[in-house]
Amino acid sequence: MSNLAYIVAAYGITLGSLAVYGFLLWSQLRQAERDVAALSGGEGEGYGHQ
Amino acid sequence: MKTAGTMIGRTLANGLGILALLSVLIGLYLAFCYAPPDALQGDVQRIMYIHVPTAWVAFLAFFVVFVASIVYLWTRAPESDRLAAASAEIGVLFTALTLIDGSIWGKPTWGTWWTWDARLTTTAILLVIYVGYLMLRSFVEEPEQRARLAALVGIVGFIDVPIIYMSVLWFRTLHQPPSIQRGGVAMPDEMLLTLLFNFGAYTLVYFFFLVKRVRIESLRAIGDALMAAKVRHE
Repeated sequence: MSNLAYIVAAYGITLGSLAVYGFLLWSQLRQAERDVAALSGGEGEGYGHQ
Repeated sequence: MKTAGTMIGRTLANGLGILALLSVLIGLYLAFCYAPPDALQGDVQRIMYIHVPTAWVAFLAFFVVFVASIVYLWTRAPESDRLAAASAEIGVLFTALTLIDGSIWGKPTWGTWWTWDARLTTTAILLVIYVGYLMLRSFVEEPEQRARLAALVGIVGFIDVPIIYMSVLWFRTLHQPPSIQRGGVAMPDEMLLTLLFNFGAYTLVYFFFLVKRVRIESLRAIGDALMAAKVRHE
């Protein structure tokens, strides 16, 4: 492996993992907001998705 | 009022996210276009600008777990437990990334992906401790018992963090000693500025994730309470 490949691998894995985790948080947050809105009926307005 | 507060919270959280993203992009520019290559290692040393900040964020995350766990045992406030849980998950992610990018950096510089060196071994132990912390949280169902046991692990587990930091000074290791010490800085100004900027950038990423993760935990707690009330009503 060349030095460039090591650099690309390190940055790619780190930034890619952070992006995937950020996406997972975003989807979990949306799901949690939907669940609370469904359970609380009309009161769930304040918990709507972002 | 709840809606207005939620809107302000969302705007601040999204602003933090945009700031974190911009900071990471500027940090990448500094790492690849501003900082000079290392005299000995060449360009591969640029991995330092992501490896050291991820390690710093992991330590910060577990420090937050440590403090939030003490506060929980002191006050029994569920918010502290939720903060500790959120921070532990992010800390595990950053510890795993530290080990992975450190291993990738190790191959061209040390000639091996992994060695049972004091710094690497204590960092691997840290990962195991906090993966155990998260597993404990998923196994114990009763909320107060779960929070109490997790707080104990969160406090005791943090003992490994100063051991990791000092390991390169206490033991003969392959890993280099800290680049920034009280006695001075062992790198040119351009490298130092790039490193410090990336510390800030990944710290912002940590706080952005933390805000979102705590919000998820809070919403789940609200959901559980609403569900319990509904069951009681029926």
